Amino acid sequence: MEQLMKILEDINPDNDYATETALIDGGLLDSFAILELVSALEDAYGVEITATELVPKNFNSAQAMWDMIQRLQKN
Amino acid sequence: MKPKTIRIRAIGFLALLTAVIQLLSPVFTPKNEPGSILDEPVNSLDYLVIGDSECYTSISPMELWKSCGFAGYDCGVSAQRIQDAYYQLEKTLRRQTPKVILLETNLIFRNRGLRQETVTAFDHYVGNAVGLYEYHNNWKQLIAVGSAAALRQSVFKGMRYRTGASPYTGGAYMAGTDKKQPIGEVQEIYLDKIAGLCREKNIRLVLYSVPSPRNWNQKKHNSVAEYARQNKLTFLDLNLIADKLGIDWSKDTYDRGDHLNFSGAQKVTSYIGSYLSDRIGLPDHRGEAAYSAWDRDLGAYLKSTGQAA
Amino acid sequence: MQYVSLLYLLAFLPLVLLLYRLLPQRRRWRLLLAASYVFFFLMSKQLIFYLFFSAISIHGIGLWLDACDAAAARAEGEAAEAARLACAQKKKRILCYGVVLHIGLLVLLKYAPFFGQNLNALLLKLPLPVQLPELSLGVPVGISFFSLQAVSYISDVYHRRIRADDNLGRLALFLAFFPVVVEGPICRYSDTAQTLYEGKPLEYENVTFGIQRMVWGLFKKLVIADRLNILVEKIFTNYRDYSGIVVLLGAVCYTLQLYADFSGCIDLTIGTAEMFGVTVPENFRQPFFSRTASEFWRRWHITLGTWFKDYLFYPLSLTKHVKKIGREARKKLGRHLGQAAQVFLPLLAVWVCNGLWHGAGWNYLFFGLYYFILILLGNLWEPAAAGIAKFLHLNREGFLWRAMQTVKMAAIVVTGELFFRANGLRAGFSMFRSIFTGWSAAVLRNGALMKLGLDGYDFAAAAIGLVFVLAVDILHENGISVRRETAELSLPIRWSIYLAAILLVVIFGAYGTGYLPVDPLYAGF
Repeated sequence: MEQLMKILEDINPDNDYATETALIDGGLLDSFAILELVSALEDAYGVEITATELVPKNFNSAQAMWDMIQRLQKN
Repeated sequence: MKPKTIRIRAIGFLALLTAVIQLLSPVFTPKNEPGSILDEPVNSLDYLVIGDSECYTSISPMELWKSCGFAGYDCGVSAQRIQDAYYQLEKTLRRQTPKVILLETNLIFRNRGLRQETVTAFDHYVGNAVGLYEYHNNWKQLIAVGSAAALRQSVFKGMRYRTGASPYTGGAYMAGTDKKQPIGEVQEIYLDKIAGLCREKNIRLVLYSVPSPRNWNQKKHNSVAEYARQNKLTFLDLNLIADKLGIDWSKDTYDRGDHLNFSGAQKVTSYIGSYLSDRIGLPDHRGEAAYSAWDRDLGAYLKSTGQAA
Repeated sequence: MQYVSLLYLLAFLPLVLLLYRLLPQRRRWRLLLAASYVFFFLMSKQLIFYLFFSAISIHGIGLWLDACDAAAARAEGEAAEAARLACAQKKKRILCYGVVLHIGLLVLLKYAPFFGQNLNALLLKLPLPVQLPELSLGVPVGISFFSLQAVSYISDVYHRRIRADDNLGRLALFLAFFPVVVEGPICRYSDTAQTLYEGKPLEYENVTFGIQRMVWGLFKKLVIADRLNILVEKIFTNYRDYSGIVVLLGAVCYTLQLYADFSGCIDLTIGTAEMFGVTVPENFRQPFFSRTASEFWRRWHITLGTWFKDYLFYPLSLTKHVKKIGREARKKLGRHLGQAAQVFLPLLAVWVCNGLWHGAGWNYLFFGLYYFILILLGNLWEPAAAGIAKFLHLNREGFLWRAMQTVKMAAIVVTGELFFRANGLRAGFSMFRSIFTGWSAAVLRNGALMKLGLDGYDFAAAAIGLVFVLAVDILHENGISVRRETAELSLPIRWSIYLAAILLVVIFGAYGTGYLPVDPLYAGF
């Protein structure tokens, strides 16, 4: 989880990832940032994130992203 | 909120809206607009020219007054549809009794499709009932009552005075063909209505087409010529005799063959003047007391068009 | 039939509302569907077939996709893995058919003439005596919009974000809902389909707020957009006769006309939907407050931007090939440039499509590429800009910086719209050049501005109208809802405001004798 927070801070330090739950819906991460995030997460956790996973539900908060990563790692 | 309250509110608001519109409508409905045909005394005009922008850039009523003493007006409206021309004519004929009406034929082919026509029909029902809707554009006149700009137009009697030349270089445009460009159903209905209205009021209807390479072609000519034949109307297609009129496409158009400028209009007006005096015989009102305003306006007109002696 | 017509506003819409009120809840969606089809028929007549065909096809494709998944889920044991793979393959193929079908239809109907003409031009250059016949099939209204809605539905089912709908009527209504069918907003099934179907009872606030929004939309369209249209038409049609400040004025007025027209019509459509209690996404969010080109497209025609993002940009960027390009690029060029390399092709695809979606013409393609380059460069430039600002101790949130960005964005947008509106690419370049070559301040003094079709009163009316729009946009940007605030005022005051608003539209609208009715600008796309 810590690594995830570091990745997020690295991509866009302006947001408070501990509390924010509308990263997508609130437009706090734009599409370029999302793509950067996807490649960073894929490299860091060895998962494959496809377009199917790219929904607000999975990326609106750090917790949601963590849940998604865990789910993908299991498969 | 209780349904009863809603109903009361809705009715209340609509009633208020209706009342306000009824109060404002007479304010906007023109009684005597400066600088328009309503400025002319009742039953004083002997001819009217109707159509779209081709109409008021082709015939100069003051020229006809100067040369023949004929009193008439250009009633054209830019990009007017034939339906609107009909309704406008109907209204105009409540105050005027011309002997001849010249209809510029370009607007016959202005057809925006069935859906636009349905919309227009409904518009007219509402417009006739609600003066504010029909005449709302008079807000400009209301603010500017008595402004010089409005008055200046009246010496032109509806004509749009344009100098400057932007030549048409496309060459011959009336090709020999038998094909006809079809007249839209709705357009034909309104053409019939105009013809019927003229017949009813004993007015001679003359169709005419201004030389305009951008707008006219042989196919349109064939269609209108056929209509004229079937309805026993005169059709003066000036596109076919542009040379005879002396139209010089390097000097007589201000927008590359879309409209004529003043120099071109003078030539068309002169031809129409001959036609009106030879074939129709309109009265010469020069010197008559009732038409003294025309003589007075003539001075201003000659000055504005650079023809003052 | 058109939205901005008495027939729609005073006859069609009230009739539909009345019937809606009288019908029982479970039948209301049928009324909306029937009304939508009648509306569509009045606009495009027999081309309604395409709308109907789209509904049937997405219905079938959706169910087919779900059936695949269901079959794979049933498989057990060793066969399960193979079944899942086969299912994934099959679903991909079905999605392909669906997308090709709808986009192909769109391309065929809208662009066949354009491709044909250009192909013919090319064939003439090569000494080939072949010329393709001119193919001109009718284009149904709104096809650029409902095709995208159709593809979005199929994609969402494919990605299992929604379950396929077995109710053909509900899907047909989703595609055809009359307020949005002509020019959007482009709706998502998950947001809109259910509320459309529910037949919620009419509510006082929904209806009154909806009407108010519609009046606001009419104000923008009739008082501002249709008035400016006269000047814009004149300058863009006779562009060779104008240069310098006049052309610039034309471009600026067109940009304002486009904003007032499109956002005004959207207000009409969202307001209408609101009356029925149907949620429809916003399409504009004060676009002229944007600070970058990227941000502009998140505030202008929002639903088109999000459609391209969700259904073209992300899917392309996350394919294996593109990800590989990204990985290699990041290794060789570092993180930032590598990232740019990854998005290059998907971004290019999006902007080519965005440009061409607006119309079949080289100037539209240019428009798309124009923004592609601006956004790409903006993205590449960002770290450098941040560095420079830090070095020079410039405050990027400060008033001066933001003012500069607003001016920069205005110049960018107006230039883009100049090319967008021009009669073709060559005309666009000619006009753009003429702004500089023909620049002369004399035009402001010699009355030339009064020969463009608008008199002093028109300019004043448009200007005052724009001031109102600016005021409302500023309020909205700060989260203030004008309708809500007005509703809090006492009855005499707020009724006066409502009356005044309606009268302003009726009196100062640029319609009637002497004005040509202006079709909503985006209805042609």
